[in-house]
Amino acid sequence: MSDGSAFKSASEEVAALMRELTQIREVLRDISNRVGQIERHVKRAFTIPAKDKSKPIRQQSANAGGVMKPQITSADALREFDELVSVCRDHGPETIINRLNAKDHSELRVIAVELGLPAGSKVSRKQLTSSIAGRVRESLLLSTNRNVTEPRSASATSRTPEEAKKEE
Amino acid sequence: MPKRNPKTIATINFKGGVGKTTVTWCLGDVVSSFSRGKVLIFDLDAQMSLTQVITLNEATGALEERFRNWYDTATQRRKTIFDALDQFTKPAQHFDFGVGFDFIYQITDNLHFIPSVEDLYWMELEVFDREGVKDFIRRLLGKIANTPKLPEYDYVIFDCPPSFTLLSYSVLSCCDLVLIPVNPDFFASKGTNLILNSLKMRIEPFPLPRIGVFMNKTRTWGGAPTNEARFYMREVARVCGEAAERQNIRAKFFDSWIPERVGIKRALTAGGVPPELVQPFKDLWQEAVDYLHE
Repeated sequence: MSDGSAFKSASEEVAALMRELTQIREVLRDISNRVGQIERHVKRAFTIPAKDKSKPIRQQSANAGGVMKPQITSADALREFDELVSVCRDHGPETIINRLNAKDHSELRVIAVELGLPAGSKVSRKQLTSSIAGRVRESLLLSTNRNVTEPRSASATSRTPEEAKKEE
Repeated sequence: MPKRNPKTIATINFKGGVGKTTVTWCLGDVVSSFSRGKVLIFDLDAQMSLTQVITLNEATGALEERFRNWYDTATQRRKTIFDALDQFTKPAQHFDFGVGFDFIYQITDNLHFIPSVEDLYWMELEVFDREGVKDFIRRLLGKIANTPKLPEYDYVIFDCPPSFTLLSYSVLSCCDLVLIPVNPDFFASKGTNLILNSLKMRIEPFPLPRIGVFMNKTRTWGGAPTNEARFYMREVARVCGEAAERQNIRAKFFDSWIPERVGIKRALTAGGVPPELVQPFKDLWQEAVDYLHE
């Protein structure tokens, strides 16, 4: 109303309409966000159920590219691995290399497959032995750690009164 | 009638990158969206990853406007987790830090959040007395439980930093369950033994929480874990069993596992837990809750 008229000018009308449109756009954006939220919630709530983990699934087969039928099962392979870990802990890594060298190629492949190692038909005996030995070392390392410091509370409580007096 | 105390769960692993932040957020989101539980989550990591995941606007790359305004007010009024700790550790002063919705951000009706601040980086230098901090989280939770205007939370989940900080110590001294995500690789699995065998002596004489370990970012083949992932699951389960027996602690390796999902953080900022991960997180939560009530 800069020209003294009782009514709004065209440009003022445009500005007012623009303000209203902005407000409507914000409302629509809110509604769109809300609808999006509902849509996401519905998708997540009624999604196709995950595959049943208890169902037997196709395992990576040791005989996939295979030549010879392995003589041991998956359970045997894991049992053998546990024994290798125990032997390595007690007698050192050379012993397990000897033990692995005494095994058939097909047996080594089954063990390698069970441990998630590459075990295709082109993988050599030496590679299989070395990678299985690596897993054995990993297993031993996973259960060892050494704290070189003692916590304050532990060192304070582990002293006998006599020891404490001596230190004083 | 006094409010009941919420069950408290800390997600921790000293190894970075195992998915602590993702797991905390996904559990909070799944539980608050699909159960009747009210959840409060804490970001205690100065890196503020959880704060960013929750509040970053994927479209603009900036913080959500609502959160930004709230956060600005909270920092101006000194209502952040750092200010609460600062007040708590001041010598000979009563801890009268008021907690309300200026301290707690409401993401949804059932999911509330206490964000982190970068100042937590320097806390270790300024507050060096662990005994001075140990009761901080317990007292803060007490205040939250006793504030009438705040809801009765069923669960509180803490996203802890990837190291043993004073705040982690304070959380571990009072929480009910420690959740340790591990990954199917040597370096991520190695830390499990360290935590399991060190926690007891580091936080004694406080009661040791139950410890639940589970495989996160599990690579799959045909819908099941790969043989390599199963190898690490088996090994970590063995480490848990040995530590539980040797240390006389309650540590368990969960059957539930979370599959690897490429671009998970992006999916979270874009709209919450992806549909294919909802069920795995429901399974994990159910197992954790059952374990808590065993």
